[in-house]
Formats: sequence, structure tokens, C-alpha cells
Amino acid sequence: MMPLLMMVLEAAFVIAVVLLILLAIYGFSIKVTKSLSRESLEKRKPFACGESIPPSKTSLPDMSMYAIVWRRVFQSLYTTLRDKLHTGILSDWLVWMFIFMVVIVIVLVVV
Amino acid sequence: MEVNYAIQFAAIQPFLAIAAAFILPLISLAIKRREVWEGFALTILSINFILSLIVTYHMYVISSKPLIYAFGSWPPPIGIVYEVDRAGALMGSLINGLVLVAAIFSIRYMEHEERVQWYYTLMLGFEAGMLGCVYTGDIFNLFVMLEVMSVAAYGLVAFRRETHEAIEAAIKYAIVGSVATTAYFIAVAFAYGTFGTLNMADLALKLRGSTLPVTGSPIGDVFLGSALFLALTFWAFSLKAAIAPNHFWLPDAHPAAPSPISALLSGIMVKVAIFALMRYIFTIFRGAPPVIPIVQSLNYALIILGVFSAIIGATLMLTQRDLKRLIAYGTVLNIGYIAMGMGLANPDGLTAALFHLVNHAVGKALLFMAAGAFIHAIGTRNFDELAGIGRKMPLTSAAFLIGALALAGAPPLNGFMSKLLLFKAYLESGWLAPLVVVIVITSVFALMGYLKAFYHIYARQPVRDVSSIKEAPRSMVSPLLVLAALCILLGLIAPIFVDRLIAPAVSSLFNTQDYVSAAQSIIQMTMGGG
Repeated sequence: MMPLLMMVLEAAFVIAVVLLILLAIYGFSIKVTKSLSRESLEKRKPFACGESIPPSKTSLPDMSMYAIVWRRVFQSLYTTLRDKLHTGILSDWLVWMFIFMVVIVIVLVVV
Repeated sequence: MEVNYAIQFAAIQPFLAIAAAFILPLISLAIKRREVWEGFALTILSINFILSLIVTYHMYVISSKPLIYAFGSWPPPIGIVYEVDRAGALMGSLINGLVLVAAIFSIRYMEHEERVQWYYTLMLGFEAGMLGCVYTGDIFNLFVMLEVMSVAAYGLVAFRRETHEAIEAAIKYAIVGSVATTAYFIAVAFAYGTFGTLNMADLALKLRGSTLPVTGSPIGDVFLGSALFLALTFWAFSLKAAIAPNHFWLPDAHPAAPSPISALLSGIMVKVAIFALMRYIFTIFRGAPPVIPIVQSLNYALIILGVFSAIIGATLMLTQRDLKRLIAYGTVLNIGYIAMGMGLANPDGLTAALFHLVNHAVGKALLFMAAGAFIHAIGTRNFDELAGIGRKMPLTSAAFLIGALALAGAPPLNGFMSKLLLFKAYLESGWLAPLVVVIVITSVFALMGYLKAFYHIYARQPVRDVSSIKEAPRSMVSPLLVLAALCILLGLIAPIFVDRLIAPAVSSLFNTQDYVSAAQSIIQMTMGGG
């Protein structure tokens, strides 16, 4: 176990050093670009065809961050499972808990 | 009868904490200053932490044999005993350390709250319950301490009783938790009805055809009694540990509590249940001829449910819009990894599980407390409203990022090291090797989830006026920095830490012989008058 962990640590150290260098370059570039373009408060206001809406309403749903594949392929399955299993209703929880208890008892006692 | 100082130091910790929990309300009647209440609680917690470090030092450096404390000098199996081995000592230090850190963080975090004397009272009771659970050598005393821990936890979740969310979460948690402890109580009844003993060492001996004096041979069907005991115990502790499908309560209960308490619930309380399962499966039941098929089935159940927990935790993390709920689902994910490691039932698997238990405790406490610092500053847990706050709180953000990367498994942080050990244990496990895919995919999901959180907190433009927000106070940032440093340090010294602390703890969990010998020797000492 020790040699494996030591090997990983060495690799990790190198990665960490490289990352730190990249981070420093990134930080420097941010500083340079920020000094080039100062952002006005007006720029932050959402453009919504003249309507006044709070910025929070303009944000995308989290799912959009990742995931056309996720949404198209899995979301309906996921939503169905979540609605059936994660209802947040206590009696639903208790039903699932007792089903699980019965399964465990059967597995350990009978099987 | 001469009693070792280290075991006295272990036995006194739960007593000190529970005594302090009773004394603090009396102090608050006489002295109406919260500094005094906080000072009193911190003093007791610090003393307990120092005592637990001494016990751990003793167990690792001076003597490797488990130590027994017989309450009222009644020897086992008649009296209640605390039996502390290396694994128990390590858990004791972890519990005391995290509770102390959470208490320090709470001073400023709870500054605007009323009734803080009750907060610290419950926190002390909570610590007493957790310590009792990991130190006890008695299956009924474990039930009692589990109740002490749980009742304090229900109270802490309901602490902000002016919010409907806290009340609803606490009631649900209390009902579900009570069902679990009742199931464990019934399991204890099955064990007592079958074996005629409540002492863990005696139980281990009876399973192997031997016995301690007084209680005699088993009086029931050993296979059936053991199967029912293990089934109900596993079910009860899987609920306390939030192993799927018994994880429902956790994402409601943990976020509703004040953040330092969320850190303790997710960071250490669920691990106490995991540790109790480790004690039963590996020290008491493993290798006992009549129950080998039962333990084998239980190990497979742990692997299946571990995989299930990891997948559920990882996928649900991604869709959360509440910072604390996202972190709470991360607990379900990581408990899944720990269960997977335990399910392998070999030293490599258990080493990975125990190391990940420690790493997750530190990382999760860090994340919840960092989230608490953000929430304390802006008063919301919603990602949209937290947008951009991280830039105003650079130290807290840095600590949050370190915790997030550690739990997502980024090298060279501690979470990566324990996941690597788990990965290796599965690769070498034969036909279970394909399950490494689960570890990899769920780790990627976890990274996406945590980066989503960090993106919202740090990179997004603020949607509220955050100009007045400043870095969290020093007493809140310091615990975060300590935990962040631990995440880095535990990663960098992982080979030494695993070799010197985790591997010996795993050996002690597997060492049934030493565990029962300690009980036998104290009986000899008592009977010999020595």
C-alpha cells in the first residue's frame, strides 16, 4: 500500500505544482483583462425587451450547465423516480423503510 | 483491582459531557451571560478532546491491547463495560475534535440566536451519546447511548423552532430515527433471548462455542437469533448512517439544523452508526462458524447498497439548488463508498473504508461550516442568491474549494487518497473489480456538483447587493482553515497516516481474540482480587 501511495503522492505533487503555475497565469490574465475593460453597472442589467426583471430570474436552471444528454436521456426517468421515491412525505418514507427491512430480514434469515 | 489510567480517561469522557449538559442549564439560571455558557461548554469539550488524545496515544504507542472499564467494578458479562481498542480510540478523538471545532465555530455563528445555553446543552449531550456508542462493549448500553445521541440530534435539528422547516425536519427525523432505535432494541431482545448475554465479548465467545462465566451456553437457535439480530441491527444502523434506501431523512434533517450541527450530523454522527456496524460485523460476528453465511450475505448487502447510495447521492447532488442539501446528498454518496469498502470484508477494503470515514468527516465538516459562513453572511441557502458572495469572503471560499475538491477526490487531497485505496481494493477483489466504474463515475458527478456550488458562490455575478458583506469573523474562519489544512495534510501524509493509524485500527477491528481476551483478563483480575 505504501509504495502505491508514495507514487501517487509524487505524481500529485507534480500535478499540484503545475496547477499552481496555471492558476498564477490565470490570475494574472484576469487581472490584466479586468484592467483593460472596466465593467459598468449598466452592463449588468438584464436586457429583456424593456421589461424590468430581477437578475435572479434571468439565470439558467442548473441542469443546463451540464447537460443536454442528461436531460434528454435520463431526466424523465430521474424525475419519475424522484417523484415516486423522494416525495418528502413521512408515510411514503416509512413504506420504503419497511419494504427494505423485510427484504433484509428475508435475505439474512431465509437465504 | 487496578485500572489503567487510559481507560479511566476514556470512561470519564461521556460522563463529563453528559454531566456538563445537566449543569449548563443550572449555570444559565444563575449567570445570564452567554460568554460564561460558551466558555463552560468549550472548556468541557477541550478537556474531553485532550483526554481522547491521551487515550489514543496510549492505545497506539504504549499498549495495543483493548482496555476495559467495568462500571461499578461489576465485571463482564454482568456489569456494563466500556471496551476501547485502537479503532474506538481513533473514533473518540475524531468525535471530540470535530465537536470542539464546531463549538468554536458556533460562538459567532450563533451570536444572533436566543437560548444558546440549550444549544450547548444539546451539543454536550450529543457528544456524550456519540462517545458512548464508540466506547461501549455492551449491546444494550449501545442502544441507550444511541438514544442519547439521537434525542440530542432531534433537538438540535429543531433548534430554530421559529422556522417551520426546522420543526418539520425534526419531527420527521425523530419519527424515522425512533423507528430505527426501536428496531435495534428488538434486535437486542433477539440477541439476549438467543445468547443470554448483552456483553459484546461474551457474544463473540458464545458464537465460537465458548463463554464468559455466569451466562452459560446459548439458549436459543444461534443461526436464527443471529440472523434476526444482524438483520434488524443492520437495518437500524443503515438508517442512522443514511445508507440508501434508508437515506430519505438526511437531506431534510441535516440542512435544517444550524450549520455547525449539520457539520456534526453529516461529519461524524452517521459515522458512529457505521462504526457500530463495523464492530458487530468484523469484531463480533466475522469468522464465527454458525453465522458465516449470514455475514457473507450482509457483506454483499453492504456492497449492493453502497453502490446504490453512491449513485443516488451523486445524481441527486447535481440537481440541488440549495447549498446545504447538495452537501447533504454528498454524504449519502460518501457513505456509499464506505459501505462498499466494508462490504469487501478484507483488510484492504476496511482500511479504505476507515480512511475514507476519517477523510469524509473532516471534509464534510469543513464544507458545512464554510456553507454556514456564507449563509451567516447573506441569510440564504439558495444558489441564485448566494451568487458572487464568495469573492467577498476569499478565505471561506478557499476553504470551501479545498473541502469540495477533497471530497470530489482531487489529488493530492485526503479524499483522493482514500478513494484510491478503495479503487485498489476493488481492482484486487476479483469479480467485483468492475465496480470501480461506480467509484469513478460518481466521483465525476461529485466533482460536477461541487464545482456547480463553487461556480454559483464564487464565479457568478451577484444578484443582490453584496457590497457590505465581509469575510467571516476570525473565530469562524480559523476552524475552516484548520479543517482545510487537515484535508491537505491528510492527503500529503496519507502513507504514514494509513500505516501508523488506520491499519492498526483495522487490525484491532478484526482482532476478536484480543477483544475477548481483555474481557477474560478483567474477570480473572476481579475474581483473583488483583
